[in-house]
Amino acid sequence: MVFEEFEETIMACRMCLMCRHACTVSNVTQRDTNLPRGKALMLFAQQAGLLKWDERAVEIVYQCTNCHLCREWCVKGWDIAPVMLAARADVVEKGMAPQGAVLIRDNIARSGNPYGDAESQLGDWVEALTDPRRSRGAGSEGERVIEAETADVLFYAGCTTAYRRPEMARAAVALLQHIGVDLTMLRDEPCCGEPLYVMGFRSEARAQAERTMERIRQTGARTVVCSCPTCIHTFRVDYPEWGVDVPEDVRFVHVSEYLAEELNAGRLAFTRAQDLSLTYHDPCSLGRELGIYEAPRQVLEAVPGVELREMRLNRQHSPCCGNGGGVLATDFQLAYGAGRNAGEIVLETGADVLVTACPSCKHSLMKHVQGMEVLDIAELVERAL
Amino acid sequence: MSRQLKSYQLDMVISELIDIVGEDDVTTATPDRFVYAVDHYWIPEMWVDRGQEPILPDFVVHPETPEEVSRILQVANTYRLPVVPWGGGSSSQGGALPIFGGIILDTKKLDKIIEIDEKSMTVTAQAGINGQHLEWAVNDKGMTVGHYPAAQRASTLGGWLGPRGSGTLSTKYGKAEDMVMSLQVVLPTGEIIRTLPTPNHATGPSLLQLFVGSEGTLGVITEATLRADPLPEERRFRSFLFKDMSDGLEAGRRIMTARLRPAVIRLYDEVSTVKQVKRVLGITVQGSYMVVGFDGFKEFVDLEEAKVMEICAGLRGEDLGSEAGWKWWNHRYDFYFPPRLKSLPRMYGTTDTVSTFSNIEKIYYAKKEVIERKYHKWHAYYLAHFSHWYPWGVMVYDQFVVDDPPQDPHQALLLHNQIWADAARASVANGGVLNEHHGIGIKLGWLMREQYGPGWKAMQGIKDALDPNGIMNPGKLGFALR
Repeated sequence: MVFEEFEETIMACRMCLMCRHACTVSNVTQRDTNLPRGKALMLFAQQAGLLKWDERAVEIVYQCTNCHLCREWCVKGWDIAPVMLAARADVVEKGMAPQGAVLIRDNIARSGNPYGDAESQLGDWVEALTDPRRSRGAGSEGERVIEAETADVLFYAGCTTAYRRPEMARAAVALLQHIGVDLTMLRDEPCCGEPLYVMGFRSEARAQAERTMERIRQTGARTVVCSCPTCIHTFRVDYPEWGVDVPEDVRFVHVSEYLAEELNAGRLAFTRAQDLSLTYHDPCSLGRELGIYEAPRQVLEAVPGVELREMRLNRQHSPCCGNGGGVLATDFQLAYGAGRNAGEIVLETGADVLVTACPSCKHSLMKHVQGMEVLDIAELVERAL
Repeated sequence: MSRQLKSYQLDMVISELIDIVGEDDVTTATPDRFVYAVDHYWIPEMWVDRGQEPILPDFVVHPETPEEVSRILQVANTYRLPVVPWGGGSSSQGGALPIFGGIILDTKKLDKIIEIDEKSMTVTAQAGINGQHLEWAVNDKGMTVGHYPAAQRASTLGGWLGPRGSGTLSTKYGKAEDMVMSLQVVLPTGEIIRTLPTPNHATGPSLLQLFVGSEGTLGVITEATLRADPLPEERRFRSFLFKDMSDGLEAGRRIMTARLRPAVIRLYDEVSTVKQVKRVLGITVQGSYMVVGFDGFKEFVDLEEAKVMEICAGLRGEDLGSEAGWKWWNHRYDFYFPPRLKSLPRMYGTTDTVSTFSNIEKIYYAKKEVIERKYHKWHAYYLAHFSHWYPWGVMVYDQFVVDDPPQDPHQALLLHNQIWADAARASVANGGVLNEHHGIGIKLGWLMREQYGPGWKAMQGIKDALDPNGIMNPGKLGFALR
């Protein structure tokens, strides 16, 4: 199906090498097969009967971090990432899905999250969030708000935040409580379905999305705030494309957008100067996918004492952390290599702190920027309250 | 034709290659071999487009050190396997095609910056480094390599040097061969050597320049030191419209023989002018369009621009201001992205050559005549611009295009080669050379003996001495498979 759906892109990319310098994956493997050109050439040859699907072909299809850097450096905006996702759906249909992809599917089916962590952990962790000591002045009201089943605002952590970087959710919730919003969370928060989609399990992704949307609907929230930009992209962009019924009066916002809104409305003010230099890393999903570049910068620049040092490659050219596109599950070495390459660009700034706005990015980059503190935007802002 | 290795030999080669670079850096998987069977040359792309399988290498290997390269070449000598160095694969001449199978030696894991010497303004890097990455690294120190080929993002340092490549601003900064100061090379027999530390000396002939342009036939370039330049304080463009191409060429000649050093002069022939001016200024004009660019201190740029304007005015060149030049600069690579990239189903070729100011116009008309007359039945057409200028002459970047070539891949190849041979022979007969900056590869290798005449004996003698088993990139530069 991939060829029919993306024939134009395949025909264009198979003859062009102009994004070699930017491709996250080929900058690690240094194999031409991993370039958009190599991938497109392979798919074209398969369609022409010159190549057969084999184990290596499947591996190549899953060696894409879905970062869209190729598109950003392309004058015509050709993008290999959606082609790879479509090719993965073909692979799944052929029954050739790699082990890492199958594991993700099975984990979500079994535990509700791609990591396969026990579902009850999220509930325990929500309990921990109600600790008034972490509510920063919200006191018992903070507890009451958190325990509400329905509320104006739902804080949806997202699986990677919940199971890998819970400190990000703690900070986000503390901020929301500080602002004083009518807040709730889902103790049984289900996965948004994006990991299933990127691994090629499209019908499973849609079914998961339906379940998740129903739970969100039950909270009555009109605003869903999330630390994970990939979840936000899935709600905002993918769900409508997948045919999931998304209520028109529910809006999905990333925590950085929400903070910028509150700042502009005068409901968020900072009292503690930070006296540090920081650099900001634009996550692929927040920047290239959702086009949100300025909101996080506006928030960071409003923190007193902060010197923002832009990375050499920033905004639409920001390096990918390597954890996107399911690569962490199918090719750890590749994800690690991409993170290392991104880390080198971060370190060039010499900043004290790296701020990012995505749990996957934070999880990756903190391994690769030795000597630099790594914070989510909510964590930094929480310090300045 | 791929050399048929018996199963035992095949296993032995794989085993030895894994022993050298590790399992992750050797592949015999078909998708990898397929991708490395198609470089940016029209022929393999045409084969695949027409459903014909290209010639696959037997192995693809990714060494990370010169020592690994050396051991790979020793294995190749043992089993008499062709070795084809591969950088960015952006060669338009088939320079990286494994036409006899064997080993593709991908250099891109040799990608380290060794040293940036800010005092001497030089940069030393491994040869597999990406061109854009190298430029970024020196930009960070306030310098530029000054090499801006269309394939800057796609190609490698070794790929610039292999075919004596050139960039957009070569008129000021020089070609790759002018920038390079010294090389580390792994000889075909495995010895790792260094050329002298400086390019200028009185210490015998230039070993350095023997390897520059050798297109992987005399060894593998693994490291290079280049001269860098300061990032210019001022960059400026000015464009002009001349009555015809002859006036434009004369203006360019006067600029260069006055020893002005613009960063770039691009002069379009009358056919290209119509398209180019329409694109950048949105108007239809007749004549010959020229963009001149200047880099350097503001005062120098002021002076140089004034002198160029004076020369152009003297030849009744109409001053079109600076906007069009900037537009060209900012969009200079757009032509290389599909669908604007010249690509299949058309047949096309860039038959660039270089000669003195006395000869260049003769070459242009001889090529235009032979392509458009002899291949009239194919509706072949010819267009050109002049874009790399020397104190003594200029390169013509000319192209032939056949919009509707034969569908049969064999007939297509024959027509392609005939047009190429006629164009190249027209260049050589009028004082030009087979190529100015894309290289020779397999495309023009068969014409090398004609180009060199009796001098070919010296070329062949060098090849035989350095590569006794003929393993290095056979079929390229006119050197045979043994």
